Amino acid sequence: MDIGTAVKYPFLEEVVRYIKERNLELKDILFDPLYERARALGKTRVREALEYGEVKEHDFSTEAAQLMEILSYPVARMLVSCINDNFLQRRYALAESVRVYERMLYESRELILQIAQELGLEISSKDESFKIHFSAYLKFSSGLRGGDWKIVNRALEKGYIILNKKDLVRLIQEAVRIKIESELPLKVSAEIDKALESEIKEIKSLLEIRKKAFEPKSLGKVTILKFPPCMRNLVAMIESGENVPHAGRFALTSFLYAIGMSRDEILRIFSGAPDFAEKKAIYQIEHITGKISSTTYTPPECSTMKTYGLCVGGDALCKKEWLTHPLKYYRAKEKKKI
Amino acid sequence: MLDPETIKYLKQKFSDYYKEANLQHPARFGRREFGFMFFDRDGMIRHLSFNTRDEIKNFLIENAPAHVYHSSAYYEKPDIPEMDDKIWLGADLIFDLDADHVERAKNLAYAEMLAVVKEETMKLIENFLISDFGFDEKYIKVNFSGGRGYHIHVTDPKAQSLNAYERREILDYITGTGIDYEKVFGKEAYDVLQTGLRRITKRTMRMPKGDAKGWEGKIGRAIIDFITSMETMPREKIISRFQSYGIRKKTAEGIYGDLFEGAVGKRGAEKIKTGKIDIFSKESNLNEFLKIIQNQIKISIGGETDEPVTSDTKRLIRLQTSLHGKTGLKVVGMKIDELKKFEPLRDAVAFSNEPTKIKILKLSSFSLKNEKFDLNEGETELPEFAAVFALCRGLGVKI
Repeated sequence: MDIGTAVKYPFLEEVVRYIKERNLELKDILFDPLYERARALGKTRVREALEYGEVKEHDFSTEAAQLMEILSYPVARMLVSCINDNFLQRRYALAESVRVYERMLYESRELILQIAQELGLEISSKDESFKIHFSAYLKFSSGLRGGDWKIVNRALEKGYIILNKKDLVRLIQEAVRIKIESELPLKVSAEIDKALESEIKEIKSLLEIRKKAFEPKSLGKVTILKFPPCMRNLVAMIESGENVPHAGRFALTSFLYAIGMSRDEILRIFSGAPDFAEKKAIYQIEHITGKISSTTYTPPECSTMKTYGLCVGGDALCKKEWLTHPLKYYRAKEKKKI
Repeated sequence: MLDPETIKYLKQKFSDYYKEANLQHPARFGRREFGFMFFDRDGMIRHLSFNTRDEIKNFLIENAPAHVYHSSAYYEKPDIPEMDDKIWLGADLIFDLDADHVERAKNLAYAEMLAVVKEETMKLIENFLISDFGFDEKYIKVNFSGGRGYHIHVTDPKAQSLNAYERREILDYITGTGIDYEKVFGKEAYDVLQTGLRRITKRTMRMPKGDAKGWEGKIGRAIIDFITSMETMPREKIISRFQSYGIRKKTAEGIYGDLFEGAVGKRGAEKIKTGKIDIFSKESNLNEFLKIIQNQIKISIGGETDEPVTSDTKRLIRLQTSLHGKTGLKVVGMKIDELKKFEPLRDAVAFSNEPTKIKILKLSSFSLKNEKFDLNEGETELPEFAAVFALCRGLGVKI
């Protein structure tokens, strides 16, 4: 693989070797004015992740630009590690993976296979498509639960699932996201903290602004206590920055709307999601709550929640025979005024 | 709880059995948690582990438990009571087919019920585990539970580290949960009308191809097979067959009409064979028809618990070659080809023919070892295996 290609995928082994070959040390990257641009780009990566949910396309058409781009990746990781915020980590990992997805869609089959192998996806070629063992498919699709991604809706035969290029690249995105997330936070020293002092400050304040703007203040303690355990869990997942799969967001959105929350209030809650992009979230919420298509979707019942793995095992109230729907739980609690 | 005299007798019998039995141990049994239930006390004793085969054997001989279980998982420290502290290392993939959850087995006599569950078990293995999931036969073991069904243990290394969500996905696959029918019957344009400048594309649903992979192929094949099997049946029989699947008479008649009425060559059933599925006059007819088809294919497995056996990565399951305390029958372990010839009420009997006196408390009858036992209240003499069975089921007491 030539470096022009590898620079697009900075998590690859090649890139690590490239840096080593140039005898570049950490202190060079952090302090040497020569690599000022790499540090600025590293900060840009994190800022883009925070603001847009994806790392944007950067220019690296010259060899010099390539080097700066390559070095910006470890800088970004160190920056995120210094700040050590759960939400930021997940958001950043996701943003890098989204950029990988956008790029890989245009790559050749050979390159896709090569990168997939390196990420631990045992994939092989099958005619115009690809095949993957179902155990690997399950592992890398766990964040994509629901609907199309369920193996019951897949071409499974003799242990292997046939995938088209787009779906494979989506799994690769997941593999990248999981990989980056698991590597953070890196161990950082006081020296690194000092070197990146101003960048850390800038990102931290952006993070604060974001968190304040979308603070779910209308979700008082009283209301959330009336939620069934499944919904409480979904809210908790979002608030802690965990990536909630589509089915979960759908269930929560339709539930919150059904109990009388406004679209704005619902938006506030979702703003904690690592892949939160305001426009898209507004669109999704409006769609589910009937503003766009005039179909208001009713929240799923308990058996559906179980199928999608969203039921966390109920409490005593859940186990009552007539309790078959999250809304029934909420209404029961309302009546009792607990 | 059973009376003291009966308990004493059963404990002696079970103990004798364990003295002579050729116990089979699960792989890496030193890493498994064991659990036991007893005749003379309530509840279960858990979090036990054993280092040698002799230790297990001696425990069984000394304590004569009514039920013996081990974890599907293996742990770093199996005997620590806190589940999280045991440190999970992996688990076999388990399926529990119980007569209570197999629709067709309900309301049948014991022997027939077991036969239906056995069929379902073989269907699960052949149509799903081997053909779709590609598990090698050497990794698949079946245990007769000693009671009302069978357990399948898959020991394929690829399945060992699957987590609960992933196992749930496998379970959903075999039960056909979450099928996207729009995808199965993909909408396809079949006609384009051009009237002036307007183009109207008519779309229809198409039949899934029988050689497609996954559920698409299963549904395609099942529809054709189902229709073919009905073709030579008289109308009344077909309609009552639909009703036996829980369909209302009016809908059953509607489905019949859609499939088999009309001019020969133009009937719904024939159109289906050419690839069309858009032959139903009402959506409800189509939906009910699809329900039947899905029921033919899927495995009836499931229960009312929140955590089905398959997705529970910390489940306790019966030990092969142990005895079932409610029947006195053996938990028989076998490979797939042995399952074909297996007859539980003959091959799972653990005790002898020795005449044994017991007192029957209520009118009852059962079949074991190809012998029918019709019992009236009062004292009687039965072969040992039948006496043990009757006592375990609480049909009588030891005298």
